[in-house]
Amino acid sequence: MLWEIFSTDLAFVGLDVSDQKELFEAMGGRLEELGYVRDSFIDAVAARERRFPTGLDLGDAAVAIPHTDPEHVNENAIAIANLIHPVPFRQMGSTEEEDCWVQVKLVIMLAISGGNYIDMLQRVIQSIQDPGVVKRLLGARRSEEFIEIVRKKEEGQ
Amino acid sequence: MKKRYMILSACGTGIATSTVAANSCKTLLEERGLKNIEIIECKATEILGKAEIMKPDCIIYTAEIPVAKLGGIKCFRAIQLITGIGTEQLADEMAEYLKTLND
Repeated sequence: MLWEIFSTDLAFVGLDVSDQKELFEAMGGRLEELGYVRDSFIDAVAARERRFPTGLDLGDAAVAIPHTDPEHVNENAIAIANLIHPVPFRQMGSTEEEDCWVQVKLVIMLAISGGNYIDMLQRVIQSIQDPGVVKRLLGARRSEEFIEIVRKKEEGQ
Repeated sequence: MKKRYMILSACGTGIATSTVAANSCKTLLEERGLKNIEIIECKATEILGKAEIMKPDCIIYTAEIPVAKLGGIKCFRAIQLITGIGTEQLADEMAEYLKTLND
């Protein structure tokens, strides 16, 4: 279950950042501090985001799922943040010429080392495809709430 | 209709969104009567080489690929499989296209 992978150490409520750089440093920095990723992770995520963006327009809200190659990761983990101010991300799959940006207020940063990650990823995607869950995650005011919201979703409550 | 279909799924890392897109795509195409579908994930940067070797029936992608250099292989941008918005329409378009192919 996804909620069992989530940790309050990796949950950021009302993160106050002004751009992608600050965002990646805050979330990636915590992942690094806790040993989930290597010191190359933050730069690798930023570089990948420039080349292959991860912003997703979900209609009512926009989410980003920044991630990078497994060689920068020690152990599978997920960091989650809702943001005070939206941070612009380019839309996933779009080209630079299209110049298509979305205003992201919910960020799910994936640290993928390989191994048994497909199930984890599948569950993250299922969660963001549920508008009610996204709305509740955006409104979470305590880090425990993120886990509770996802647990309830997975237990069908 | 062909007996087997080969689809390449490309994303930035070749292991994340392309895998999610591939799993979802396979289910949706099976629901539309297309069996025997093999989907291989790859990195967007490797797509030209992979496409030449695998000769896929079509490509789905969640990261920018050089569509113009892919020699007429039909490419579908598949962000719908990640956001869940517009999924059915994409699957209909893909199924319709694949059913026009012959062995």
